[in-house]
Amino acid sequence: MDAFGCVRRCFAIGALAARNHLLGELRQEVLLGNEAIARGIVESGCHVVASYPGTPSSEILPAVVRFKKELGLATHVEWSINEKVAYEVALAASYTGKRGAVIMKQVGLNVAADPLMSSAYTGVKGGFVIICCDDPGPHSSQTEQDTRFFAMFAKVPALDPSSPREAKEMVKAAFELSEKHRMPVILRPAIRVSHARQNITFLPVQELERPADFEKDPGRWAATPPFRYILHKELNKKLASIEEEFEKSELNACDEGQDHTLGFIAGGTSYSVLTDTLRELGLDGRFPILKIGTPHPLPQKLVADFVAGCNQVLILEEPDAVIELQVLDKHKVLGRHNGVVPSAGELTPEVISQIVTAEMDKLGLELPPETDTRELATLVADLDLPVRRPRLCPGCMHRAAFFAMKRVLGSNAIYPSDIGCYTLGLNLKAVDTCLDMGGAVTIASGLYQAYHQDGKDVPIAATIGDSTFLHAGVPALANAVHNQARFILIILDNSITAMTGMQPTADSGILADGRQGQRVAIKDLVRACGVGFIEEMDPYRVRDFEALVKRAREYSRQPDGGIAVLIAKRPCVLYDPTPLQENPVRVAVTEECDGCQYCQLAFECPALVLNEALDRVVIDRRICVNCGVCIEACPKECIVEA
Amino acid sequence: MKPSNEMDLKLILSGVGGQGVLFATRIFSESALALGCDILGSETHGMSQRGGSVISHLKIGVYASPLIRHGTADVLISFDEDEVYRTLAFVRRGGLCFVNSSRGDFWDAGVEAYLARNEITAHSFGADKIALELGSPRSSNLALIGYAVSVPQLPFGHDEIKATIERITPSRFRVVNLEAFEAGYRREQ
Ligand code: SF4
Ligand code: SF4
Repeated sequence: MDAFGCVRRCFAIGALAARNHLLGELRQEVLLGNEAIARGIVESGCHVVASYPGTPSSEILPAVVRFKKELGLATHVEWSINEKVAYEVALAASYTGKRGAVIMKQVGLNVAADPLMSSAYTGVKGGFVIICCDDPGPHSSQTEQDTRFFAMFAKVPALDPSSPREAKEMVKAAFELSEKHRMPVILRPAIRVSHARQNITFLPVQELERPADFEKDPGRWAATPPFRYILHKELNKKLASIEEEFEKSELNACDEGQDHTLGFIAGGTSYSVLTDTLRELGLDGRFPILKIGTPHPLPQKLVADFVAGCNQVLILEEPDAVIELQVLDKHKVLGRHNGVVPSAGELTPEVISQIVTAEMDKLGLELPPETDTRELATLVADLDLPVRRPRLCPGCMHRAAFFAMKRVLGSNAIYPSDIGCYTLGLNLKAVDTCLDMGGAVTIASGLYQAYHQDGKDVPIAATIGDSTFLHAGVPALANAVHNQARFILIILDNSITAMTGMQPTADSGILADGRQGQRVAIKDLVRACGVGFIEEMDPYRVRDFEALVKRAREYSRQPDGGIAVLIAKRPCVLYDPTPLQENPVRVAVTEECDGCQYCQLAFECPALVLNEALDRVVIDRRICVNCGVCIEACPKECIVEA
Repeated sequence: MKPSNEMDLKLILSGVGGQGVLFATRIFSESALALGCDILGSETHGMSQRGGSVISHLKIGVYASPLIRHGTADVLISFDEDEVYRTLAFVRRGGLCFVNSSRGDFWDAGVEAYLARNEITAHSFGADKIALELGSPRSSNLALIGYAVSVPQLPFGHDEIKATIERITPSRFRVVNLEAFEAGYRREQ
């Protein structure tokens, strides 16, 4: 194996981590970036932690629970109903002088934008940190939005870690900054930090005696518009002094280089990718790099001095041009505004090496030869490998519900859906829209109104998961009922937030740390919204479920009818396989199967595979979970109980 | 070639959701940590875990970024016959590649020529078969790891990988995982 002559660049935080590493006697563990962040939260003595799950942020809260239990701490942890709620619960802790943290993915901050904007004005008392994970790519999100823009918009500081180790240290820095300036602070790890793994040293937990003490101060906590004007001026002052502080902060650092024909400004993941890429290209230590750990407010003097010292400066950051936009004099700057850096997609090592190589070309620098993989792309494309799209698990109850729904309502019906595993119903053509959390219900009502206005009756069946319904579906349903919309709403209740890694919902009553809390039943909420047709059924009973869909459709058309809600109820097979183990239905495909593949297209269980030699579908026993639902999926009745 | 705390290795593991790619990655990262190395890696979470392509990057040594660039990985271990092609571009000239396949003539001729031109040593090994014979299809990842460790160029020894498997496997799979690892190591086909 090659051994690269590697020199670790010791910027402040790295150096601290390295020192701890040398201490040796401290415990070290390989942690996911998100677990490292959780460790940082716990080590900072944070008292209240609230979150709503979403990739790439979901693993933080469970890791807080782990450390809380290991250390016997009294930390309050909760999976809140949605991000806005989580934000405000943690914020209120800070009102009392305690430390609070709220955790979400980047689009979650859209939901929590309201309290973010307002709390920037009111400020905080105990340290309050918003941990908001970005998803450049995107890998698992509906947008590539940049949380650092939200920081600019709300006028709050943002810290941008480049590795799990640094993320953990930055959590502490964020709490201190927040407490010092009495304002919310955003920590923005990107997915490659959240889902990176690194060996992390455990440090002792900071013990903060902070009895709750809410001091009444209506001019702040309940400020009316005239006071808000004053608070805004105060906020501007805070921001200016934070910028001053960032000029000298260890969170920003300069890696020296003797060649000033080009300099780099980079932050977060892009900084770490750049560092490794330059080393691989034999350019280690050649060009100066300004690492920005505090992208907002940008330390303007630091940046201007750096730019002044270079002929040109290439800015690498993701997913958007937040540092670049703040740079006042752009005439030496290469980046997104002049097309040097792509404006969509992740800045992977391949993309960054291409950008750097092109610049080196312009400088007339020759680079060492590299493995040329370009021809491989064509060779592999010629192999026509099957597309590997994500699919619902074998035995997933969503599939049964979708199949029954489609068989009754056909392909002329409109199927608004939502965010969760069941978005994969796309493959079954049972999902026509997926906008945002709760969008299934609102889009269904809007569609109804648009057609109804023209005197048209089009079947509309919306699907939404249990957790998503609780998150944003409840007000949407109340609104739809009130405005007399008519459609079928199928709540896919698998008793868990499955896609993000099995977080309990309020309907299950289970709390974030596993204890039993008060249950909030979905059915009761639906009833309270004024829905007149509510039925609950296990969708594995495909025929009965179909009959239910038919009745629901009739109800939505009859004069005294309205919205019909079906709760399809059965636990996620990954979360709770016991019902299947207790009552397995072993299936087989008969020799009459002619390989038409209808079942694969319309039902798409991954365990149904075409055996080309036999020219018929067979069951992949390694992954079949014996749910027996596919018996319904073959129109020629070739799938039977074995 | 075998273990040291100055290891410098870039390893890609690829497969499909459910094949245990992440667990396999843990085995290598925990073993490296036990040797006193720094590790940094990146994994796929979220929706692709539902049967989509899963790829894990693992860098052992002193690195800043968890991602491995095309053409720079020392080793690729792939648990799937299709995914190996999709992730082959990561392997550097002179690197090593392992694929879970019982077909002796696994490689496509064009790709095989590419491998030869780039001096990439490719091994295919029927790990699924071993795991199936042991009655534990899910242990196939362990069998392939066993095989890979038996190749002297891989800078991990039998004993420390075995120790890691013993340490991190949940108890109900421990015996069968170790059996699969050993069978792979002995190259039982
Ligand atoms: S994890 Fe659960 S809900 Fe998600 S696809 Fe699999 S079975 Fe369905
Ligand atoms: S019984 Fe049928 S539907 Fe259920 S997992 Fe097996 S093949 Fe899939």
